[in-house]
Amino acid sequence: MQIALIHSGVAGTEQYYRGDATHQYRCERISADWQPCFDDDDVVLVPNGANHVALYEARAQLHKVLARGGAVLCFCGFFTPWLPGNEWRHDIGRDLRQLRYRVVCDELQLFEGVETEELCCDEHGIRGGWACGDIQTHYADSVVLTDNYQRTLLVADRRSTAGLIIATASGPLGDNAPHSAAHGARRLYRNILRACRAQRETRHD
Amino acid sequence: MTDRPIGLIFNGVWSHNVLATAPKYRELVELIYVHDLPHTDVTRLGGLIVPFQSDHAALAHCHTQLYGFLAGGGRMAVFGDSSHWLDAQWVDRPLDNHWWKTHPTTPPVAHTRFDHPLFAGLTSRQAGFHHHGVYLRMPAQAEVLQRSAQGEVITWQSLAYGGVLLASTMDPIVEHALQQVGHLDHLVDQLLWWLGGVRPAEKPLTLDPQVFGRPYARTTTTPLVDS
Repeated sequence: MQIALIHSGVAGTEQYYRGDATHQYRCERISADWQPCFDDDDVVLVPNGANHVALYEARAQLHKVLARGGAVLCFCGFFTPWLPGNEWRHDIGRDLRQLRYRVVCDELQLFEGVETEELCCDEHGIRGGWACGDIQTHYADSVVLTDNYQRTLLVADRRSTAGLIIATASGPLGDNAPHSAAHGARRLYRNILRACRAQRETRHD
Repeated sequence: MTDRPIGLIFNGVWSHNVLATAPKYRELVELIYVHDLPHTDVTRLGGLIVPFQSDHAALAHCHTQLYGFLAGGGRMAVFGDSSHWLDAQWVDRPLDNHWWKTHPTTPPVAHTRFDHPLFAGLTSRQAGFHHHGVYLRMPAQAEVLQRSAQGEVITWQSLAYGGVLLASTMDPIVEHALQQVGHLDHLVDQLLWWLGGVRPAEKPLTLDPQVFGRPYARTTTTPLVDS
């Protein structure tokens, strides 16, 4: 499965995405005259710290990926309107010490083997560091993860387009050691890749 | 004092957009999209900020323009990582953004020059938080403003280019927008005053919900410099 990794020139972007026999990453570097071609890619991955001005300008190419049944993953605050059927808004002023997450609907089994508490609270006991926004999605059954402030933190949307959209409310996800055991955010990311592989097989049928 | 806006170099990242469009700051700060920078007349700006999560390769193409701004007496602050277009060497270090929970009495920035106007009047907690790497080398005759507990350089400034070039591996811009460090109003307010001479109103950061879900309007002027 080929994954186009959107690179906005932010140092260290590639280090969170190591390929293996199943997943090959192709770095797609944004530039002043960026005209990406995703024709050979199964997945487009937008990591944390991405350039959403450029992504908006390339929305036709991104929509083409979805129209042919491909997948678009966005783990960053998509403040410009390039992702079909979904809007993201930053959200501040919550008491993060009280934060709790809840899986609402998980048809793709993205949370198989994932404890929500591992996303909500890091190993130092700090809450709220993973996500800091709210996704307004057009289809309620796309909502996978919410919090106790009624914010939507993760969507898996197969209705807005012919493809698969998985987006977090800016929560970063990646895997810098694909051959090691995984839990928490890394396990969630691997489950998302598994859902993308299933999407790809469906498309090829 | 000046009423010229502070230019915030904008890499299309949401946190840059949030800070510059916040009601508290939007009259003082102007987003300069990094890929429009070669087309932008920076001489009209009161100061320049290069935040964390910038495209430093794109900025390197604007080297002449940026150092021209300094040569004209401007002030520029560069925050965060990998500023390889500076005459300095940045290296990464493990990120310690949990120190306030695990070791609250030993902050990662241990030494600050509080006689510098950027930090004057701030508390240690307001002036120093987690950082993204250190500088192993600075421009000749630059002075160190902050060091880590290990004595490594976090923040420096140089007067050698005409104006003032300040670089720090801390980043008050992205962190303030994230609001996961909850006390950065003081440092950001002081930064804007130090760069441009105008102090923001004393009120907390809030968001403008209208900035979400709409395109960013790029400038379309003729290039002023070759890049």
